[in-house]
Amino acid sequence: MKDDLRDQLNEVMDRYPGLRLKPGRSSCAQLEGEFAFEVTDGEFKSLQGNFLVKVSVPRTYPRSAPTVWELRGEIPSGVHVNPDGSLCLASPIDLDLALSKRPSLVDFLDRFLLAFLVGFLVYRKTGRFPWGERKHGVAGALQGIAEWLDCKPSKGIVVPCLRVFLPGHKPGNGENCPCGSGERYTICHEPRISELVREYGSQGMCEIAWRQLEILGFPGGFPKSRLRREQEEIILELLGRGRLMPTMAPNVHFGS
Amino acid sequence: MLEQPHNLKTIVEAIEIPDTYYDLARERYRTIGEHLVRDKSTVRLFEPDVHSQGSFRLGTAIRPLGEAEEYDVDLVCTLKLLTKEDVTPEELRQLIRGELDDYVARNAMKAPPRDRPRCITLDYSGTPSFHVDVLPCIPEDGVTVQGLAADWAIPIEWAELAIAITDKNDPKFREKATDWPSSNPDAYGRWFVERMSKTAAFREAKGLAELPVYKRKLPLQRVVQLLKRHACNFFADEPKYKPISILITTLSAKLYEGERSIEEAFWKIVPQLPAAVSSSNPSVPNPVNPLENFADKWVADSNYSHAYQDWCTQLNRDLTELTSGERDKREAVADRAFKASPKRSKVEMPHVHIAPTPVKSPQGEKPWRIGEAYH
Repeated sequence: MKDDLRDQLNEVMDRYPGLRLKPGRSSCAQLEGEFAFEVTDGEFKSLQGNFLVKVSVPRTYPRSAPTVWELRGEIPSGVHVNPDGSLCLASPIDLDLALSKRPSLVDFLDRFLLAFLVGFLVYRKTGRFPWGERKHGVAGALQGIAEWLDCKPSKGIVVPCLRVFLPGHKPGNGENCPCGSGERYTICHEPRISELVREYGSQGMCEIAWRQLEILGFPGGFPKSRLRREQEEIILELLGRGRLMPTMAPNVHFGS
Repeated sequence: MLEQPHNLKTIVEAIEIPDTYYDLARERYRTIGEHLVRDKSTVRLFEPDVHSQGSFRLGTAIRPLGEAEEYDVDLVCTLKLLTKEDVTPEELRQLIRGELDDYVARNAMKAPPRDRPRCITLDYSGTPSFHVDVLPCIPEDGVTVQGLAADWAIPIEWAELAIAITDKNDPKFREKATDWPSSNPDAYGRWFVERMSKTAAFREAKGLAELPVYKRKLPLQRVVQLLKRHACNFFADEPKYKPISILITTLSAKLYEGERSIEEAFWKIVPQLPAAVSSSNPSVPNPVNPLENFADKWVADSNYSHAYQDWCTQLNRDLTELTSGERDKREAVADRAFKASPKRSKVEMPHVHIAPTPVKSPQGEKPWRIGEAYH
């Protein structure tokens, strides 16, 4: 284990003292125990939660995302739970974009697991999630991407938009926007796409776009050899585990 | 001074076994030894010798985690006058096995001896119940002894204690061979006793040297007990990857520098454990026979090294909380990490309450969202 990951695990256990390490594998470290928290502001003045969870942290973190299971069976299957029983923390593009910024493990768990569990508590109290739900499977992934790109959630539009991030696919100045608006690219989606490239880097967005295209069933012409092996594994994992489930729709406000 | 209900010493007291168990174990191997030297014994002329090795010899045995009080006692059974030229490993096994069959019948023991790759196991029922592993062996040959002394700078008086053992899985088990598997539990025991008495205060303490090793209860012995217990608990669901006891014992003894208290010794040893075994080339050589690597399984399966590092990380955290944490935290750690809370004596683990961590979500930010760029 790299010292860096050990420090990060320690940081997580400092923040969530109910979690303890269990013997891991060479691929993943494993935390298990009570994930206890209290959210102290927002509409629900004090939300307390205490879930028994298992968190499997890839030793290559943040190259790939941790997987989380809830162990007491409090979260019914079908409620943001993947077919393998792990929690569906976010859509693939949400995870990809978050990980590309190399968040600390604590940040990741706060942002995804804590948010997920807070959402679940609200659901249990009120019967509905504080945010909308995305569709399941590829449709959900499509929705996620469309929200990020600010375009319609249809494959015919999302796929050409994603391809713009791949080398040599950038439309010329006079060309029409791939979103099908009929407008010129420079005045339509160019600002949003440049914003993403500025934020995540052109190499980063290229890899993310390639992965999303693969998930949508459109391996988009990006040479495979340029991807690191782990990234291929992530795709297989995402596809295999059916992570393509609904996720937190970004436009719903809670707690502010 | 206020009583500290969950310091390391009280945990040791909760996990260690009563002296009477050591006495009982001693009684067991005394009767086996007597059986081998009785007039009608088939091995009497080969000058049999039976004595203990392992945790019962080193005074580092601990109570098992579960309810069942079952202990493994390791015995060395040497036929001192036999050599590799006289017998094959298989014949040596048969000689000793025959006598043990007879022993089991005479003592009306329920289970017949069990043949394991390197030893023969006798099951004593009762409470506590003992599994006694008898290791058949002969003295190591002169060439091997000289080699150990010359090549590895092992003191000659230790090298001379080396033994040749049998292994049913060894291809040469049925052959007259010169290269039997080699071991040296007696020298290991002496090495360990030397390490644990590193401080002059312990060597010179009045009467200490006269006590049997298991009654001395010196800091190194206590630390080994604590580490073994912590590992038993940490690896309870993954026993395959638990570092073997002799590996834990060896590392602790190597890192121990004569600290006078359990706390000091623990603090000396634990922080150094992660670096004590290289992940890329895992090796924990037997200090009295460097050809033997206690981490040999780790070489082919890197899960061992990773699980070991995870254990070290958790151990270090638990030690910190035990020595510096508040009373409640110490209690929780004693319970969760060592299963050694006084409350726990006979009941199942109670639910441990962990105070929730207040997590204040920052004003105006939506914690489940990642899309600042999406505003």
